[in-house]
Amino acid sequence: MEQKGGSGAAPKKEFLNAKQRRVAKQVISVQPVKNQDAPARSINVEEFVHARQYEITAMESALKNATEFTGNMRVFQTLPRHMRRRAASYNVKRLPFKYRQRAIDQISKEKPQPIKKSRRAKRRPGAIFEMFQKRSKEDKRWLDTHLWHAKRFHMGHKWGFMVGLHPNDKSTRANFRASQHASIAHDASYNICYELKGSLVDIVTVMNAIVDPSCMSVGAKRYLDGSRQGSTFVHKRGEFPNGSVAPVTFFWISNCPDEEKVLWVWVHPAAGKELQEVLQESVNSANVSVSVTSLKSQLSRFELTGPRSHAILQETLKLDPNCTNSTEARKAWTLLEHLRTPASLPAGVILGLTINDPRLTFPPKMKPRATGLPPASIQSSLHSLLTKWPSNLSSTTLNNSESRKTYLHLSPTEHQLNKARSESLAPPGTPLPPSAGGPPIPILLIQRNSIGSTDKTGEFVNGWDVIVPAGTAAVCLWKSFIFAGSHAVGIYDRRRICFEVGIASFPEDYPETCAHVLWALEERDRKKAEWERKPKAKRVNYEKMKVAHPFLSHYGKLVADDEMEVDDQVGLKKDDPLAVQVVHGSKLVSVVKQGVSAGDSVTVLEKKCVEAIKSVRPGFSIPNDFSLGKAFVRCRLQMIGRGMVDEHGMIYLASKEQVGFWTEFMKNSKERDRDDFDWSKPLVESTDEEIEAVLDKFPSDEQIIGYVSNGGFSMADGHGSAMGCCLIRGLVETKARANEQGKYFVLVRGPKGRICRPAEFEILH
Amino acid sequence: MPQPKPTGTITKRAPQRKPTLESDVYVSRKSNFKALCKRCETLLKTQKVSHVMVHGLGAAVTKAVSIALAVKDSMPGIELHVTTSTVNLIDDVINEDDENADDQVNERKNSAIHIRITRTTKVEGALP
Repeated sequence: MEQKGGSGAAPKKEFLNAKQRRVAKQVISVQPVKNQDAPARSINVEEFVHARQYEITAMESALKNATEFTGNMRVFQTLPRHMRRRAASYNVKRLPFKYRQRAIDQISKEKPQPIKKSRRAKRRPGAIFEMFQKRSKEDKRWLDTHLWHAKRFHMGHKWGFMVGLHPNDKSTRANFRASQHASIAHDASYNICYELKGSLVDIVTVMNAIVDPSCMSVGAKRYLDGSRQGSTFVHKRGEFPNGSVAPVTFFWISNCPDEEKVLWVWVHPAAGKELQEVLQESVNSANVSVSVTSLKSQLSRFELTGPRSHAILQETLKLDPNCTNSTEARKAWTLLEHLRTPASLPAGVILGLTINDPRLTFPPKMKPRATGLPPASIQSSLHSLLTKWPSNLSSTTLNNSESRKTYLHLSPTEHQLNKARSESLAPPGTPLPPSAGGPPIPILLIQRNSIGSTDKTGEFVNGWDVIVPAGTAAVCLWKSFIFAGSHAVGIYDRRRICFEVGIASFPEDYPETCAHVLWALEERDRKKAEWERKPKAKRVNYEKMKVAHPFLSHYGKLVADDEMEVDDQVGLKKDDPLAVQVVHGSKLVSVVKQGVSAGDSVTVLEKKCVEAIKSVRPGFSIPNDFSLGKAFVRCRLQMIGRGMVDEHGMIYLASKEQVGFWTEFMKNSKERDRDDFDWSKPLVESTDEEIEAVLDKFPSDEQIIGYVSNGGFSMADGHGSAMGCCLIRGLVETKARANEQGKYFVLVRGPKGRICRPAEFEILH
Repeated sequence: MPQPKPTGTITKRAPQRKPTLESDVYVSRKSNFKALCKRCETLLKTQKVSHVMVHGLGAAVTKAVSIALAVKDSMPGIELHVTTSTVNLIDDVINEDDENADDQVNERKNSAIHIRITRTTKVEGALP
């Protein structure tokens, strides 16, 4: 047999072009016959295959290289370069005539390409929700109102949720004004609710073992009927006063028998996992049958603040008249229509209401503000309601997990409602009857003030919290609030409001907790990296400013025992040296507050604290080494004159000379407030000697008694203000160094500040 | 006969009152005297409102009166019209020591003053 070559003559190898080389590769080479004269023989399969091994492998390799015919390559790819066209992949007319049929055959073998969705179709809320269902991970949950927020807010990934950080516009001042005169709404559904189910005695035992003993117990009479929300602070079992976990709010579900009581404990998600562990541990050690379940993402919680919020709620919540569960609550809510502000209500009251589908009366139309007082009869009924708040207004079916599921997707869809609206014979604009909508929704209204005994009657502290089952119902209610005129705010704005009002926000202002430590270390790394990216000439030289920790408030170092190097590079461990002891129960804080202003020493304060704990919880075993020597307390600082302190600012103990200097300075600056001040002379803020005395003169680090966790210019006060934690012994010493008028103050300096300015402090919870 | 003082921490609740109008100036003990005087003067000068109502409750009554008089001295043609009223106040008394104690509510009454400041004559040819 002759060797068969490829089509056409095969020139020498080195002159082959690409096509010829490819064709040459595809030739199936044939083995020449060894002995042409031998007779034909029978085939032994094994021997045969073994003998033909060469041809078999040759055929296989040729097949591999015969790309076009095995489908690895398309016919238009085999064309020479000058005949290739881009559109040939889908348009056979771009190919030379000879190749078209082959191309058609190849195209017909392919799977049909799905038609790509238009950009508009991809951005429809329904499509986004589908995408979310496919993509949602356990650690990046969407809140119910996510789609609404995503279009208007800058979103961030925090605590396992995607939350709105701040609105897209610059709105600090607008939000502040809205919180003072209008209404603000915040979606706080990221807070986690833990449900404890068991007998009353068991639940109280479990909780009492892990909370601050100076706070009122969960089983106190005022909370047991479920008519009020209470708040307390959770510590790890047996570790009080250290081992703080988080501040929590709680309320009992009413109308449960004593053997099957239900307690709902709400916590910030930064400490959620820790709280669950602590609860479970307490249940196990007490050896009782109490079940701890997380209701994460099953309830939505909206925080409303501001004078108009009450009116907005009155307008958007249309009560279901047929619900037998909440008749009393309905009457109370109708009477409360004339209430000016929820700050007049008893602290922490809860109303269990049932509302009709909010979509039926969407968009809400707010009535104009009332101009006068209500008639005298209503005034007196309202007054008696406020003074004698009944205890049966908070019954609800929200704790029934099965019934909560019915509100995930409300049964007549928006499309069906719109169809009903267009088909109805009533004049256009008439709202649909309640029967046309979904089932009535159980909600809880909670007056937020349950911090305990605080003198704050402000709108933020006393606003309404609305708890709704998660799902469509929550989103519709949110939209009603927004259309009724509430401004939506994000996490950053909420922190700003807390700063203006003077409330600590978790976890930034709670250095006693692990959640704070983790957050602080992350922030430190982020800020340090940002600082290091800048060239030396464009960034603050913290070394020259003698700021040891510009990115971290190192409370731990203030109470470090010896020369132990409290390392900045410490890893994220649970028992981090940075978590400190902070006195936070309302009773203990008032003891400390009164003690400091009375001039008590630290030992006297310790005795008073121990007495206070004993009077609230006589059976509690206080550790023998209970001391306040290393304890901090949260303070609000108000700058006396000018000046502003930033986060991580340092709070110094003022020396006697500094107290004298600033007293003189303040006396001189008060001259300007007098009526006979000569304004024609040029205004000199401070004399050169005064400036010389304070500029760049930083007290040593041993004088530091605390750090600022949230500082800035307060729009509510009109001067600089800050929130921070100070050592109790530092504050006691400050009081001891009061000047002749009895005025005492600390000195504060921001990390970028060159002058330490005086500030007055006020002790907080 | 004075009632015995309730034990526990006392928190004052916000009292009921008419909704706030733009012409209302509420005075508290902590208010900045000069700032409020200036606010009244601006409201009257720019004539956004026909009158300014200054309110004061309890210990702030004297301050409210001083503010009204200061405004009267600062501008010509001011008339003051004074009314008083009684406000029902509610305090919460929380007994933190006793778990089983009921919450006490302390009711009291306090006097409030409402001073209406109107600007009557305008001097011809002069700017307001």
